[in-house]
Amino acid sequence: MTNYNLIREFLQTHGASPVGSTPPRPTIPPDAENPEPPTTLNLTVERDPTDWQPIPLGETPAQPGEFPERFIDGSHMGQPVLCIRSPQGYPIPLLLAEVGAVVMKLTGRRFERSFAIVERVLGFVAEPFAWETVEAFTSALANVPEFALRVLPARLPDPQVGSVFDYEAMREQAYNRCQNEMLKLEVLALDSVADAPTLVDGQVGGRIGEQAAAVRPLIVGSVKSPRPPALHPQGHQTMLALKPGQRTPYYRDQRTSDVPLASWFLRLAGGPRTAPNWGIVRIDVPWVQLTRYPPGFVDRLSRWIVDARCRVDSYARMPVSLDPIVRAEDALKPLFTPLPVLVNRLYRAAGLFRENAL
Amino acid sequence: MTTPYPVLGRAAAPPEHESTSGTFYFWVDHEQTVERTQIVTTQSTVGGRVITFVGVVQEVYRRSRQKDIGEEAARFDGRSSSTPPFASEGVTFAEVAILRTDPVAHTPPREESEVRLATPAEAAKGYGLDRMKEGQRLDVGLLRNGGTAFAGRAAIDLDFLLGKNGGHLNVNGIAGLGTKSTLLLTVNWLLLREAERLRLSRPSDANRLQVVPVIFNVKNYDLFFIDRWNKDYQADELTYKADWQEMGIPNPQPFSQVTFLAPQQKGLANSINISNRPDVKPYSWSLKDIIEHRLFTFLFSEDDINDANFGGLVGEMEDWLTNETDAGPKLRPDRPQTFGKLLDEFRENKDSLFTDYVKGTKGKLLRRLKYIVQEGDGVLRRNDSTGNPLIIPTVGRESPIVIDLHGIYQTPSLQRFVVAAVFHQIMQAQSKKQVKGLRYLITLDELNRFAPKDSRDPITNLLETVAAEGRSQGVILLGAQQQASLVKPRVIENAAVRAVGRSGTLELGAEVWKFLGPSARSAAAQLLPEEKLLYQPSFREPMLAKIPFPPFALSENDAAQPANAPGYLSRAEADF
Repeated sequence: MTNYNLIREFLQTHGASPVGSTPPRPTIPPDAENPEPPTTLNLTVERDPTDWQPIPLGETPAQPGEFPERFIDGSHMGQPVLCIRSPQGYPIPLLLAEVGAVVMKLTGRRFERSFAIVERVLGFVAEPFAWETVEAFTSALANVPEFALRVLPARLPDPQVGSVFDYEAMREQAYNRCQNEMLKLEVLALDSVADAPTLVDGQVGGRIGEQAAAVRPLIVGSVKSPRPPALHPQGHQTMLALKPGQRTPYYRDQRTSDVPLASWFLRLAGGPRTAPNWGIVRIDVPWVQLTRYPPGFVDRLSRWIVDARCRVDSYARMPVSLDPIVRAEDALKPLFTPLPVLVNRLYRAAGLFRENAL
Repeated sequence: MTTPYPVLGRAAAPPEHESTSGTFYFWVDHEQTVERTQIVTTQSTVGGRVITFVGVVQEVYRRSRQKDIGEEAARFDGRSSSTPPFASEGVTFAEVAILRTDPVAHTPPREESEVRLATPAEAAKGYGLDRMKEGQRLDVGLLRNGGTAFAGRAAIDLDFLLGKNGGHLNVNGIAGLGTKSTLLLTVNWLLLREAERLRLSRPSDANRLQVVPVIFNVKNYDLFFIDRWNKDYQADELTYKADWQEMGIPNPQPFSQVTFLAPQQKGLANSINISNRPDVKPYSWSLKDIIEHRLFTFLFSEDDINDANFGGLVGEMEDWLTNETDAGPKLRPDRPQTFGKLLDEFRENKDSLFTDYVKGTKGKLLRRLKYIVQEGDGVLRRNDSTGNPLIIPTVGRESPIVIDLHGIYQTPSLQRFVVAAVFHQIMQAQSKKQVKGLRYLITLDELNRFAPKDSRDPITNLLETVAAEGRSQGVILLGAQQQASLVKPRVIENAAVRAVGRSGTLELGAEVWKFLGPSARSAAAQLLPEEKLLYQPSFREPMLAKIPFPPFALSENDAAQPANAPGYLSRAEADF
């Protein structure tokens, strides 16, 4: 049986029908897409919590080794394209996506793409199907050269979070599986630059462990949309009162299953029409690394980050973005294939065009 | 097989920069440089066929990563003294006009195809030089490949220059840069050389190319020194000779055995004095010469000759003076034999002559004739019954004939008359009996003076006729002007080969330049003195050529003294 027939057999057997992208279910907490483990904060490591005030950054420049020279960004672009039914009747969306990661190397004032990886994936909850049929389907998709699609089997949703008959819950499982794959590629990218100070777009937690952090150069995380942390009220007041170029005192974020971090909030941009919580990023540095540097490191690194902020008004996330990360995005996105092209190829392989199912 | 040059970049076709069968874009590798006028090549597999594209870079663009000027300033926080932590790192990209596809395919290249600088062989293919057979190609310079490099030789197709598929060469360029004369004379020089090559290699071939170059001197007496070395050439001979050697001409020489002709002086048998050159021969016409060469109507101006009454009277006077014989028209012996006597007789017998015409018309003719004879005295022999009319050879020559018009620059009507006399003679000769392979090369600068745009006088008409029909009769006009927009369009449009030297931007906006694309027009406004944009019908885009510096002088100031000049070599000794 040809690869195409195997693909069609699986999809037709399970009643595949085309679907489009759907907005996230309102009831799903927004942070569920990027779950962070519970945290334990020590707010006393730089200042007493009652003394928290915005800290203006000095002009002292960061020294070599104190600022990143490699920049990592990942991307995940996809959407539900088909919906099949499990033998039990569960609606199971198939998410077609491309995930990738890129490393930009800073040489002088120029950037070069030193590492890039992109993969095409099809994520769906595969547990309800017989292993043999999923395996055959997976193998067929991987062996069609125009796809080279890798199936990402996701698990059934936690019954406490969503019902197996809930399409959105199933979609969320598939989405998270794809997102995790992107994070894996980012970890792969991080491994490729183990010898240079590196900044990742997003949290450090989940990408590196304490032991690995202890033996590698600086790694910095820049979190664009940090969920409201469990700060004390004065901490929140301090964060909201930050002006561009100011930071909060740093604190120790002791994660139960990950690397302990030194974290602080930093306002990159502001302005009369900027919401009070916009323009603030959270900076993460593994605690084990913070202790290597002489006093003033947090200020110097923060100054460097403020100087590296994105200044491109036309970029939607400009107030919370760094120029190197925007460059990384620019270097990664063109490697992706336009999604409609992939969708059409899959529909053709599924025989949906032939049967006028669209 | 030559090794391909390094990759410059890759073809791209995003929105707003889509490729077509005529144009494509490519982004430039940040370690490479791309320049306008470079010739590039790329290959694509389209529909299973591998297609090679050759094109010329029309323009090179640079785009920053910013969306507007505000973002550009924001990178510096509005302070020019500050330096952003990261470089802007925009992208350079180029627009390419496709010159040729091999095999022929009216389709664009695919995006991401590698784009390379073309080798000389590839560049030559781009302009179709490989399709020109032996004897059909005339190398006229070096093909520019960017600002300083070359991609082999620049050539034109003699089938387009000498009459088979088209004819004539027209050169445009602003004054003072030598943009026009150099090319016109170089083409004369090269065609003489080619004719000589054929004479030596195929002496018994009756169809071989023969040329008679007739060069009109219109400014100072510049062209009366083309048989002397150019001092500037001698001063930097190694450099200039290298260009000629690249063209396959190891030892270029000034013109030799040139026939120089200048207006005869009033009342004397000599020509006007040109730097004490003893070898300048006089030219002039007596009344007898005018009648025998059927030049009478060319003596009068456009407005006059187009007036039915006046034109009719001129025709009647010509008939009155002419005796048609088997040997051609002759001045009747019973009529006045000189212009002076003609004026006397007409003045005295005005009432009894040409009675079909009213007194006023006859008075007008008398006044015009008197003016012409007075103003033209010297060239028109007032009291001599014989003159020294210009006689153009009817077989090929090894050297050009230079005819001065500058000496009569104060009488434009007389200049136009001389030009017309030459053209008329050649056209008459060629229409009667054509020597196969014989081409008259008429070099005439300042066409705007001899064929002005809005003029309808006999000389303009003659030039139009030459432009339209001359090529089929072996009369090739090598013309030039500062502003083609001021020249009769038919004269320009009929030139199959056109060369554009540095020209004014206002001029380049005129209708006559529509055949050049915006990029070529922009380039034409910035050309170096030695550069020309060459266009012929087989080129999809103009070819930018460097014309080698001439070994011959282009003015008296340029000319080395004959005593200091190296002995002339014959062409056979020099080149073959």
